[in-house]
Amino acid sequence: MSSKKHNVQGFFEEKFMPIAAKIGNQKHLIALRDGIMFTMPLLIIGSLFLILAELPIDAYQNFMASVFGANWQAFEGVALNGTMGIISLIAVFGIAYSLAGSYEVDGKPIDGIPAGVLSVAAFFIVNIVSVFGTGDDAVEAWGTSVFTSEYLFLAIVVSLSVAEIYRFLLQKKFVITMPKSVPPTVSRSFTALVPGFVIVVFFMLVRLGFSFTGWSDLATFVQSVLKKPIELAGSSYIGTVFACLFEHTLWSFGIHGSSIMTAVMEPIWISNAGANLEAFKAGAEQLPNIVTYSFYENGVWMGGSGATLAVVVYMLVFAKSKLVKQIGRLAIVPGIFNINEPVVFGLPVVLNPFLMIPYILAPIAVTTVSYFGTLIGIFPYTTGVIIPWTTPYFISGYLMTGGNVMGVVAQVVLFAVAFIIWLPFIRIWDKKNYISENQIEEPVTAAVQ
Amino acid sequence: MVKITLVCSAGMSTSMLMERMKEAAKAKGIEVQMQALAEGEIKNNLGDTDILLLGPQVRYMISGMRAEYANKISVIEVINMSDYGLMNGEKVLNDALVLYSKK
Repeated sequence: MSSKKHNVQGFFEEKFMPIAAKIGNQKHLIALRDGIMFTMPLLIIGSLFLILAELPIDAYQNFMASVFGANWQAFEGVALNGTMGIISLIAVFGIAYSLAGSYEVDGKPIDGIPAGVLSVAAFFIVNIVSVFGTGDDAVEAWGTSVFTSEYLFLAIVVSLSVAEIYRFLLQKKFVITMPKSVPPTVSRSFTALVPGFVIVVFFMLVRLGFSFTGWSDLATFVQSVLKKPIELAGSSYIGTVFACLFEHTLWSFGIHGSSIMTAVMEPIWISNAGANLEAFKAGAEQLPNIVTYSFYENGVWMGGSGATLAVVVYMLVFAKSKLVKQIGRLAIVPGIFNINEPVVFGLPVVLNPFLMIPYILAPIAVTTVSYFGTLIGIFPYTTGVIIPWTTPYFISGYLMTGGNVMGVVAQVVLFAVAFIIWLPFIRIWDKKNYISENQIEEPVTAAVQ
Repeated sequence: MVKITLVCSAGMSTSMLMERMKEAAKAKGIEVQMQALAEGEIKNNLGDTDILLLGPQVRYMISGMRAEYANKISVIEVINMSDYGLMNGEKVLNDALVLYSKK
């Protein structure tokens, strides 16, 4: 038994690990993930203001209006514009900074800050300045939507290109070199000048080039040619199930599938969330997207990957075997905050074909019920607020649906779905462990007698 | 004093293990200094450490970590899966210290 298990593991480590390593260490994916991470505090803080302003409790709304006046919600727009409203600008810096910093010149990591700064410049260069108003009142300005998650894909395209050009020029020594006697800080201030000039000119040419095409500018091109198909694929039911399957298959072999999968999916989910948020703020009856950041990271990650919260509760309360009970005790508190490594590695799920089944099936079932429940109008749409993925289940359901109690009801249903799928498997696993635990002890007692 | 760094994807589950390793060290009267990092934090926050342990879920990073830090850190290892799952801080600490003492 154990040698067979080792063979499976050996086979896997040899064949699959290099591929996982390639994906997991892929510079652009890492930069994307780390760069998006820069925007997280703003997304979460902005969401908090939105939740505070929109909480649908009459007594609360009346109280706030009576204390602060009828316009008390005015802070919402200000706070959102300054947080969620600028995340593309933050991402365009963060991604270029992270990517450039992951390359080396002469064995030393490149300083990512100049690349980040140039990326912001390039982002402004490719975005068209619009004229608002007429005559003396005319104002030239960038539309505020340019900086929101609506243009996140443009930010990604620009920042990845800038970082690549920047590091290429640095590695090819396309820089002003100062004599040795010049202090390093001074000479460093010149390093970014030539690459920076090239980057600015390059994006001016890009802007000029697109003005001759039907798209008129890079932003329009990215929005129509890249963003639409990616979003369609990424936020469809099939796309979401595929992401879920990919994530949990990796986890089943002990690799952090969530980290790898979200590097690709998070930009899509955040962009979808932004669109929902716009519509929600405007009071739309129907929100545009079912699949958003919180739909997946707060809805499908129920107690962590594999929708394990329900099974952890079962283990804690009903398990007979020592091991399973121990895992239940170990996993319950982190599980409330959606962390479940004790289940994945301790129970274990990893390299355990039997428990892989519910571990992969449960989140897919949760995704399915959640998606179609929302589609047919039983479950509420997520409003697009971004709350930490560590927010406890049932609380997240309330917050992410704009304070809708049905959001909690939906999570109770999903909890039951996950529980039903896990139940037969965990009962058998518990029994099997209980028997083998007691078998080991029996011969010892027999020998003593 | 031995300095130990634990790394996983978000630094969350390793921080759970770290607490248990600290308890184990305290019970045995071993002086250790520990930190748990997310993989994105390694570059800027690693500092000097004697032992670098990766959570099994990010074990694909091991070759990269060894290539980058083998000259500075004597023990760079992946934590055993079942010890990780059972949050067996005592065993993880012992194994790491044994490896460290052999170097």
